[in-house]
Amino acid sequence: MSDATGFIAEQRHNRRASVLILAGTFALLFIVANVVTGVFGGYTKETCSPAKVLANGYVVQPQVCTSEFRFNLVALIITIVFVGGYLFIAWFASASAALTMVQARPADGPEFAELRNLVEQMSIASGIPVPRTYVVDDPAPNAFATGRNPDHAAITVTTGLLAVMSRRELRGVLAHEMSHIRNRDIAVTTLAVLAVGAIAVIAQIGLRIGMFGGMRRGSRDNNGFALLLLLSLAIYLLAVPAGMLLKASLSRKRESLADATAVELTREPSGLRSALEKLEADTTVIAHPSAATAHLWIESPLERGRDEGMLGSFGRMMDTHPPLSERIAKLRTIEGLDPEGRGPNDPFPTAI
Amino acid sequence: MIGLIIVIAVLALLVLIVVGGFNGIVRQRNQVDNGWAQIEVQLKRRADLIPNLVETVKGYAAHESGTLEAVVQARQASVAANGPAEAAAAEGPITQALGRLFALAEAYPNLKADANFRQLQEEITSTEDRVSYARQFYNDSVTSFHNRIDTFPGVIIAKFGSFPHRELFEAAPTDRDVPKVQF
Repeated sequence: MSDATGFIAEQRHNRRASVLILAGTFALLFIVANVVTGVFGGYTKETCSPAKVLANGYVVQPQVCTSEFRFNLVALIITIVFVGGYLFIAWFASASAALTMVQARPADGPEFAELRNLVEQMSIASGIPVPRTYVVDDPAPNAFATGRNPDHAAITVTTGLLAVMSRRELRGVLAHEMSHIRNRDIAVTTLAVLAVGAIAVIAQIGLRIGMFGGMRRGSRDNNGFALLLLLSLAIYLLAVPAGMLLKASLSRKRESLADATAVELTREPSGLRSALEKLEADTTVIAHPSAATAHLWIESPLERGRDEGMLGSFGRMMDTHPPLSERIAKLRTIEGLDPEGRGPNDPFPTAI
Repeated sequence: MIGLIIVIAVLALLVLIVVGGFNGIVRQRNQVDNGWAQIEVQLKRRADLIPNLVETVKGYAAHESGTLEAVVQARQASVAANGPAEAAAAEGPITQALGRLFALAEAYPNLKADANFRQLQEEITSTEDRVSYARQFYNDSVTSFHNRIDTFPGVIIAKFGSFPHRELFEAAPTDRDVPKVQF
């Protein structure tokens, strides 16, 4: 249970997931790049059957040429440049982009001393360097972690979170975020998000090119355009939803795991459980909700008030977080409380 | 010829397993050392904060010398402790003494309101928590390290170097008692 090697197995699992996502994106991009270069760069292999010409010069059957796509070096280079640039963004820019997007500021000053202390405690418990700590001025209680690895990590909380949580509850929330950092969840979810985005953009481009080419009737590479159109359509209809489902299920799994790791770090499920119950009861909506950063927060900032109708189960498949009630029930079970019940909660918020 | 290749391949595999295992054990030992260093940092930090706290409390409640003396003595015992077992044994008295001191502050509204005191209280309480989280990480690392060098194949690979068992930072029996508070 408290075996430190459990975390290492988690990190390995995440690394494998990252490699799979990368390899899949690379393969898809390579195929698309081959088709595009084939259409525009003439990187096709042409095979022509000779025309049948009679001795009197009468053509019985004209020369028939079919072009087929070849895997070519230009496509490979394009793909490598594209994936390289994309990795660069994922690795170096996404954390600061997320912090800018939510307008986070560093948690300096004496009023955040308790917050910084709790962050430091959790970093000691998890054996990783102390992450930078940020605050967002927002009445909705929420928190998230960013950073590609434990050396470049940051934890951000809203002022709303500080206002409603007790010390124990805040520690539970911070332990959850620390678990994301320690298990290297952020790198893998960031990659998944960027991969889905990149695939969607490529499919869009392919669709446009294919339709444009298809309208120019009689063009020599009509086959190529048709193929591109079909491929893009297939990607759009299959790969994009599949990627989104994968991303959502991956994110949900990481959330459940971070809850479990948080209990392992704090050795008490009641703090996080009580915090999640407060989040469940809270109805304040985050001021800058964005689908791009939804997977980062401890509680999804997007999914409030969604009706549980016909689309309910599909909606749940696309959620980035397991339902709060489910997460609370799990923690209550560990505590030996009634999973459906609520409370007891810490009544008093922290001093800050 | 094929037989020779197989023998060489098996030997190479064995060497790889031993080297990998050995490096893993060294990494875990380093994690244990790092965990212990972290405990020492936090213990030192608390020891540095306590004299300030004692001075601040003296300004408001000088006649509570018994409680103050207990804190000073417990601090000295903690500073003098050598190694995980001794340091852990010194934890109980110091935690209890500090608990009594902070409980005492309830009876002195002026002391409770003192900004310096409140800051020290936050820092010391937080450092106490840090000691317990550092202890948790250290003990987990030691257990994990022991499991590695006591089970196969680690038990054999560990013979290639010197990997003695480490002391756990364990709570002394008194540490589990609830501190008695008297007004």
